[in-house]
Amino acid sequence: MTTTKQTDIRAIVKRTSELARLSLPPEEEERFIAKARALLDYVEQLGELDTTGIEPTAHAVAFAQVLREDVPIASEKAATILEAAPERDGPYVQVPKVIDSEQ
Amino acid sequence: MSNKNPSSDLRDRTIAELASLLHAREISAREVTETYLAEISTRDETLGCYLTQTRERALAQADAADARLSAGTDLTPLTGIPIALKDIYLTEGVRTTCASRILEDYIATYDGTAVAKLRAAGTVLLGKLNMDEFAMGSSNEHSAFGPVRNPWNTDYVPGGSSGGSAAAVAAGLAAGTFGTDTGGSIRQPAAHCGVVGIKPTYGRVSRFGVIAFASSLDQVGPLARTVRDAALLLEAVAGHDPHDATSIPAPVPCYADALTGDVNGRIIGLPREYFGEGIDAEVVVAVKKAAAHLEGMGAKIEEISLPHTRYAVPCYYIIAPAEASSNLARYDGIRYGLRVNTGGDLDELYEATRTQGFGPEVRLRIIVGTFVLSSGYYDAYYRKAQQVRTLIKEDFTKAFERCDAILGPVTPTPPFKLNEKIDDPIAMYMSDVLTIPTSLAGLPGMSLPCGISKAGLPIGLQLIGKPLEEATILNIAHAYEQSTEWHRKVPVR
Repeated sequence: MTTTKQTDIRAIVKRTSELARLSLPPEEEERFIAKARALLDYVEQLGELDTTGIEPTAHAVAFAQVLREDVPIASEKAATILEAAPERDGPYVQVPKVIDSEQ
Repeated sequence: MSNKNPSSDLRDRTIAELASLLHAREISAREVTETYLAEISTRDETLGCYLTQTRERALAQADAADARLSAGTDLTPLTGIPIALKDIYLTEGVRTTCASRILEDYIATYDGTAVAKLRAAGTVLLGKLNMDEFAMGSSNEHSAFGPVRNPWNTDYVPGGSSGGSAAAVAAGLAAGTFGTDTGGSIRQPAAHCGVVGIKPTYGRVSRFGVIAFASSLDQVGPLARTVRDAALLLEAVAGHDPHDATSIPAPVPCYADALTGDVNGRIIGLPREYFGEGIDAEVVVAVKKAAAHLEGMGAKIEEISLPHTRYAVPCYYIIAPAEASSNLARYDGIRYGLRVNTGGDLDELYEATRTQGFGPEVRLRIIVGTFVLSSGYYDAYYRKAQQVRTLIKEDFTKAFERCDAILGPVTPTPPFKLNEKIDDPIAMYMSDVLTIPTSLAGLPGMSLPCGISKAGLPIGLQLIGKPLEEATILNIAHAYEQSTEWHRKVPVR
């Protein structure tokens, strides 16, 4: 098992926060890093087990591919669902501009 | 109504008793509902069980139930019964927060399958219950809207994450409730509050319309005062659902009919790992006494081993955060929920919304989950944990070649105090050391009261069954419950 002990936990938290689109308020940072270190150190103990050749379990119950019949079903919820959006413009959900006009 | 002061005893009635009084028209659903609403008004400020009360809707549903009861048609054992739901269940037109700032003002746009079934059965919804934010926690202290207090002693936690669901039943603020269980979130609070709670087999109940935490582990289940009540509530929601591809297409037995009280010849395994180091002596004594009691009723008690038990918590704290990090990616401030628009670009909106919207424990788990799934670490963490999950599952498969059920404690200790473990995540996570293995294996598990600690707090007994054999553990639980007095003990009001 790759250990995080040699790796800088601070760098991991920083990089992962960016991936998860979260930032850490500076006043929380030390406490957060201590907790993340405790948790990642704790899970290292799985390394004691030899799992060579053991199949991974993704789901406790094995499911075959579950597909329904390909028939359209009408939804009458569109207006209600749209109402839940924090900012709207008519039948659209409003977001900050994503396309740079100079491109 | 013969009793001049109905409120003094209606709140102590079980669902089964209320149903027979309602069906006989000796009481009305409105009386029962008003009794509970009055209790909530008087006592919930201290306990903090409810995040949202649905008073007007409750009275309207009670009147509709009374109309059904008068007509005598379309009746179920739950018609007119006041219940409440963990605030993780989507309820159309009702605020559904998951105890998070990110959903603080979110009004659900549809009913989940369990909610729709409960509504169709004629239940009365009293409100939505407090919980740890996004069901991540074992003490209910991670709610964005304040903790829940244990009705037995308000200095103590009720357990979590379904803390409001357990405390509401114990305190008599609902006749029955629903919670969800990912690593013990029904069983652990049920044990800490001295009520009955069952997490059925993974896939037994549809998860459609239940806010996702860790999708391979989450399961819906009831909390109630007695095993029979839990059986009635479970039966009402169980079954296959085309909206949840992981729900199992197997018929639902009549769980109440399975409660014969006969345990003669049943082989019950006691895993030695569940009574070893780290398990409080008072808990061990109470649970072993319960095993001896069942032996006296004709069950065969055998010591067994579940050798990978100690690896279940670390395994879970890779798998559950990984799944959570993926599930919680949807909260981005775009389509619903909180939006924090700083006037910058889309990425800034995502980051500001998620940082302000999620509490510290949720952020910790998202970051850990994102890390264990990230390129270069996936095999070492996530795949490794999935392989360990196989070993944990195989432990149970072997045990069940011989046993009909497994018995042990629910929690390693009686309830702990508020703030006792808040800064030590590992100590907090160890609260679930005896419930997480069952979750990883997808098996049914339940908790029922089996003792009171010297400090005056409840101790729970856990029964674990084979896949889809909820009826077996419910019957063993019923046999124990009905021949002991623990279910009659309630906290002082």
